Amino acid sequence: MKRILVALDGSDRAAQVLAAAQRLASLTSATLVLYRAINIPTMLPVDLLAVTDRTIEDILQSNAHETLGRLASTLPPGMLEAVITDFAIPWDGIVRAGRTRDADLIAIGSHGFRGIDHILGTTAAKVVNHADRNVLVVRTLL
Amino acid sequence: MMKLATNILVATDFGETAELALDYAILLAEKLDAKVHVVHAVSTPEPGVPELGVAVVSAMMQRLVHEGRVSLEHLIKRQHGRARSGEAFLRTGDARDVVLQVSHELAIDLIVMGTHGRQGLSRALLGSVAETVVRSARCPVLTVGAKAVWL
Repeated sequence: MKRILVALDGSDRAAQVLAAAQRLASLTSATLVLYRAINIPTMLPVDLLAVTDRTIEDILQSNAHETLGRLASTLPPGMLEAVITDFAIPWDGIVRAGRTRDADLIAIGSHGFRGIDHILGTTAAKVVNHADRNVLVVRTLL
Repeated sequence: MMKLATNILVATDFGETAELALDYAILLAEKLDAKVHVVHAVSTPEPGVPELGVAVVSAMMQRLVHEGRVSLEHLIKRQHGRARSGEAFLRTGDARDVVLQVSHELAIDLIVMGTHGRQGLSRALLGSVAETVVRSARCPVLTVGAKAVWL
């Protein structure tokens, strides 16, 4: 195994997913690509946009990079290949990133990404159904 | 560092992707020093003709169960000498229920299965057994697609 794409959301559970991917990577000498899909919140008040010169995309993206960077800093040297963020619907972004980065395996948490996940179908279940890669669904505790 | 798995359950329908899933699980188990258990579900066929009745169904089930046993024995032989082999299970019932049930009973900590089965139905359209297992299992699930990627 050469490369694992680790799909992480902004929750505390991301660390659990990363821990499982790290374990697998150390056993198989694989490198990790950390990925996070960013959603633009639809409920964002317009007033908020006026208080800064930065675009909302910039702010969201730098926040996401910061979170992933913090997680990446816990990895042993040489294991991290890349940190990528993307504006996408999570399952679609993850499936595409798996393909473009040529990952051998996608690691993803069983919960998260959206509070309504358990009603509408989890991101993980969609990734399993649509990805042309092997997928490890890590059981995360809510 | 966290433990990934000590008891791996492979769900098989004896199809091609299930074979890949088993091979993948064996390779993984060798690295983790884990045990590999195998489960196969024989589900009740729906004849579509109610008049044919119970006799046909039970005869068919007996045949399917027998075929399942032979195939499972074959799989276990193939695995021999590689990863530590665990138990082989053949149960009747819906594949989803059987996989989840056995995984609870054995305190399985990783399920490995193919994403699509032998029936060849579109998994994106109908949703796969793997999808249901991913939604309901209490342990991690590793799904293996048609493309083989080795560890």
